[in-house]
Amino acid sequence: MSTLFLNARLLNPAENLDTAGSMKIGDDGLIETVTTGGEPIPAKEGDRVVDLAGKVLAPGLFDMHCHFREPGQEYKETLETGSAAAVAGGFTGVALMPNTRPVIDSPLGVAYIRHHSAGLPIDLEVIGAMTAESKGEALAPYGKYASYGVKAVSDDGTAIQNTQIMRLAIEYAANFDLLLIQHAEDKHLTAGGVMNDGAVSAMLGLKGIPEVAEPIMIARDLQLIAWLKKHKLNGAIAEPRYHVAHISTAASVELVRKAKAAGLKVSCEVTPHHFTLTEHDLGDAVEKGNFIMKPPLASEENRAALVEGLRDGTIDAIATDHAPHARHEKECPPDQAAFGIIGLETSLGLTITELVEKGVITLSRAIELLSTNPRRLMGLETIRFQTGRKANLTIIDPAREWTVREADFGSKSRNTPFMGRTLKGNALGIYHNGKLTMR
Amino acid sequence: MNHLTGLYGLPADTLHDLLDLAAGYRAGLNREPEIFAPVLANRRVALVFFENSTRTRFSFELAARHLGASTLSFTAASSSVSKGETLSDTIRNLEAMKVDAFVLRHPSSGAADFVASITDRPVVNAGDGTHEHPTQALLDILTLREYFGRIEGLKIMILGDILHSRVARSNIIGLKTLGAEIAVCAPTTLLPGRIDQLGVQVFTGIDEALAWADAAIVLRLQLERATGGFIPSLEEYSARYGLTDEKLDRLKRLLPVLHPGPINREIEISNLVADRIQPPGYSSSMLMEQVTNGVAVRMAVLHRLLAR
Repeated sequence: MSTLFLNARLLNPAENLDTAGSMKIGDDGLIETVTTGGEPIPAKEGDRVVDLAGKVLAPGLFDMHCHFREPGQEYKETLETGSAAAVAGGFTGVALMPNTRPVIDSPLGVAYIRHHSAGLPIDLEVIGAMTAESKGEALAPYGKYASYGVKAVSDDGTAIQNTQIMRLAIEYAANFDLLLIQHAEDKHLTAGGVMNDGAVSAMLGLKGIPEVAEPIMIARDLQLIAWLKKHKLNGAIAEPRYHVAHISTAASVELVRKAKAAGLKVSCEVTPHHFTLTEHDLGDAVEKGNFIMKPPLASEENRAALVEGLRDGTIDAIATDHAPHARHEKECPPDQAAFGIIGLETSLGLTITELVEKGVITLSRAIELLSTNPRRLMGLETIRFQTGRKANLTIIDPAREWTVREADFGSKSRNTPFMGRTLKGNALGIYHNGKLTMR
Repeated sequence: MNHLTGLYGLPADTLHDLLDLAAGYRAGLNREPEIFAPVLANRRVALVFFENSTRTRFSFELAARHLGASTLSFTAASSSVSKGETLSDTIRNLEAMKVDAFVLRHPSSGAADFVASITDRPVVNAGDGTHEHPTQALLDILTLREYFGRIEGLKIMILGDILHSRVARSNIIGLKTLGAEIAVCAPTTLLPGRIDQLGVQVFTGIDEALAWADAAIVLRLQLERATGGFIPSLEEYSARYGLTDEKLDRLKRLLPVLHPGPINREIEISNLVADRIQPPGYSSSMLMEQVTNGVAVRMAVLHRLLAR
């Protein structure tokens, strides 16, 4: 059965496309026809016709930072429920962090995920651990990763503390063009910390996480990369690609801004909760567990710097750091709460509400942050709205107002600080692998 | 007031009311025999203590019993917590047994507010992590009020580990609400971030701090702070910040001295200062007065939260 999307706003930043138009997709999932302007595509009998007047047809959203907890912690999330969360949020693909139990630090782990994700409605990219068991002591087998199609490495949840090991990781990853995704955290500075070290932590008596713990790590890594580029590699082999996960402070954004200006292959992502919330939201919350994550919610000054980084292009991607936890792991005093919140279902709504509606960025730039750029960073094929190309699409209603409710979640967990919040803009469905899934 | 999880946010009227009621009970504790109206008859108060405590637990237990309530005690080491039960499950089970109030001590900051969020029974915070210890502050404030006859305009100096002290937080909040000025005196490593936002003066030298103060609240120095690197050694801390006659002699003015206990003798406070009630000497130890006031304050708190 062919599918006809009529009267849509076709929005694809990768092709500089933003126009009224229609699209016909064959039953093989390949694009047959794209028309722009008012030019109609005639429907044949048996075609599925979807009128998208007032709606946006965008390239499939991609979240480059998710935790689906399988294997090992299936009570929090599974590959299947995580995928359901992604579909609910309008994502056609996500990248999975390797901090499962056991850690994905070998081709065996990669194969396990691939085997158990076959047949799921979205694409799952596997990120390999940067070091064995993510202990920061010995490099993981990057060469084997690469031969299994892995595109990125990360010890997310922690960071290599030993500078010599980090240096080796940077040098070795460059051999395979693997993206180094850094969870930037000086663990000595953050040990035992619960929330941002500042005015709110002082009042609540909660152990603080000093915000310098993030830029200190980024500065170290950028020094290593700049040194390697100049004094060791010197153009002889590919430059390392370095990506800061869930960036959260003004100082970190400034470091990335300067590194980009200096010509280093550096990028970064921000989460919707970090550009939306601050330490004061934690302070005001009755149920504080869902406001506890790493990096911690920062001061308003830092939040504003993240918004500025989104505006001026320093920040490349929006990623959720979707981190499911069971109820009993959050329903407890704040210093006992597990770190992290879910985010797939609310990511697009928060992006439109907090950034597009407030005039920080255009909807086109939002799509770039949620699809084009994360796909490029992860080494995935560019989605094009062209005849013969595979249709990989997200249908967006940018004007729909909705209140976040239990029923909106596909995830097995509900650890979100946004329950009950009214948002503008949402995904109506996805078209991927020849299948239309409407919410 | 449905709970007393902290002094943060409580208006001056509420504090004055609790202090007035406590002052009445304090007078009653001096009478022989001590007989109080059983305003809490047939009420059951659960003393849920996840940390060791002698003074505070006995104080609450006596306070409850003076008013006719029955008490049940719970200590974490001998409970199902050691079998991995969550705090919310523990509380819900006790609630199902129909206890009427919880007095909670817990090592986690925010534990009392958390428990208050999951139960409709009154919750009294008997110390949660490094957050608040409101009844300790109330008894300190009652002690100061009895000594000076007022709180407004007093200059109170808190000496020691402010960063890790729930007593300091509650005292700063409560005393400021009642119009006192507060200064803290500690090495920078034992001060919390953004101390300026607490609206207190900061002294890093003890002589200037003593010269400023009308009264001093000396905090217990947790002995593990030295191994944690916050101070180089107990000896160095004691030499710089320990309250001794040598330092008070430079002041040449009688200074009332409070301490929440338990004290580390000759670390944060000398034997002479801790034990001297009357001159000669420049200190007046309020420590035992504080302990008695503690019973009266807890009677007032339980009365207000639980009396029908």
